[in-house]
Amino acid sequence: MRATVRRHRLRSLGAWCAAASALLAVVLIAPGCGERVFTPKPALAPQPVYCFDTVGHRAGAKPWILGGTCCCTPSEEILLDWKAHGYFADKSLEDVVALYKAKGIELASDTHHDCNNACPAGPHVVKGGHCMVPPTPGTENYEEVLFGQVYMPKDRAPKEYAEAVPSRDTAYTVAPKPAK
Amino acid sequence: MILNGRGVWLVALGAVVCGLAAGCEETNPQVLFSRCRYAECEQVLRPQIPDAKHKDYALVSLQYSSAALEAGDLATAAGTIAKAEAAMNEIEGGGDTAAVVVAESLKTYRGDPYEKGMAHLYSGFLALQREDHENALAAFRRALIADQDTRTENPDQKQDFVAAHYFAGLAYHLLDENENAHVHLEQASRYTAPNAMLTLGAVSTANTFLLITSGYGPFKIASGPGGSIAAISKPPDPVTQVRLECDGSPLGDAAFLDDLLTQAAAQGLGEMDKIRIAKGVSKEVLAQVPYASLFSSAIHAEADVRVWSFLPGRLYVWAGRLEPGLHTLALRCSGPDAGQAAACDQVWFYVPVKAEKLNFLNFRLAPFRQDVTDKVLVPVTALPEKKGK
Repeated sequence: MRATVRRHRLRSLGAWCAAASALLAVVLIAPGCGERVFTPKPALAPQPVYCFDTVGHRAGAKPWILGGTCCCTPSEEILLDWKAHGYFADKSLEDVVALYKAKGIELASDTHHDCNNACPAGPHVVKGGHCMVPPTPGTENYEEVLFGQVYMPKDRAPKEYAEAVPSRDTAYTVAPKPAK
Repeated sequence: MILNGRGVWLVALGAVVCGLAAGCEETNPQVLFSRCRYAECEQVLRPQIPDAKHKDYALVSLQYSSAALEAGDLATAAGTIAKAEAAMNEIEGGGDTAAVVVAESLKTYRGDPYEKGMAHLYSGFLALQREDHENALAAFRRALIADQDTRTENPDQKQDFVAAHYFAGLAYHLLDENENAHVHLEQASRYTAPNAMLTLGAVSTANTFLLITSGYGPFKIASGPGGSIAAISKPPDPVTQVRLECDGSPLGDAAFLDDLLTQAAAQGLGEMDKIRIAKGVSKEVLAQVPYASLFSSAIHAEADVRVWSFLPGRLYVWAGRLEPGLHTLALRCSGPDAGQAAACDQVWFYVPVKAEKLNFLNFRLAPFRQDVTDKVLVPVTALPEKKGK
């Protein structure tokens, strides 16, 4: 009988461990891991660096393809503004689109949209990829593209930025330590 | 059968052991998802989707679609979830007969009613984002039909999927069928705490709808005789209330819609479950009989514990009118432990509210998603350029 009970326990543990491997999520939110202190990102938004369709074109912003910060999908309206600021003076919309295509940059279209730059052409051009579809609002990628900066764990960041963490000034509010 | 609190923590302990033993956190989709690294999780899962004939095709597709959705890759999420829905609703599937004799996990995964319901709900929400109101309504109606498939003698448990009622009501309103909209919104109000946000008046004046989800969905553990009973539980969720702010001004609380553990636990036993439990009991009895215990190992009675584990635990909605433009949206979380709940807080900058259309956004609340401890700010210009084009 004792042997049977032991076998049953082992079986249960095995089953639990099997299920647990699919439930690693539990570990990371378990209060038992509770020494971690939450440091939220600064409550104030930095100044946007890049413009794209979702946030609207910033008048005078130089097109990405010319080394600028405008990642708006080329359109007649935007081309007018570019021309008014001295870019693509003698080019048509088709010419401009062709320039992007020639550089291997994929623009938003009826068949390529809402990918948040996770498509095979991604990441976004400003992050070193070849996708210029506007990122999805309310995601990390959206803010990274908009502000031109990425939060990275120290150990994965380029060495020269290892100490580039913003100071914990008033822009940060640190939540209280979880009660034990 | 619902697993008690002690059981949940034993599972957590098991998960620690398994996770550490695995030693592959950078490529483990579960770990990446739980650390809110949704885009990386999506990339890791993409090549893991098996052939459409595989028994786990729908399950892996659902996991993948969850990662894509939370990563903001809405196009992929919509396409993948549509394929998963089709696979879950296929009448033909492999392994059903074999599952009577051998392990139930050999069956083609089709999901429990709550999992089907959630697949349809997400599908409908993504259709709303595309302004495809007809298909959105069809999806929400499929979610309600899935709820009716819940094996229970309590009729209320067959029609208490509040989120599906709410969004079906909204879709009917957008299709100018306000009588039907009213019926569904009333149903939504019937099964959750009364909230003015769940009325036709509120729905018809709102221009922004936020689907807010928190925590992690139910999981199953094989227990009972021969592991034949799937005990169900849910990881603890520190969030019980979500307050919204727009540009620093309070917008009020999000309305609580559903707890997926309640939805999942409503599912009773079917014929296959009874056969499996009988097999489990036989296995246990045989194991105690001298010389017959050898035969017991040939009996496979283990319950199928496969679940769509990337689902959230709780669903909320916020609907209201926001000024068109770009806003800072803050989601402030509270719960029994203020510190733990606050770790789920989120702030999103430059969220667009369009004047010419309705705005649908979804937010997944998860602990430490926006934690910047030990992180550094790196300009995008310092990131390595992608090779290949």
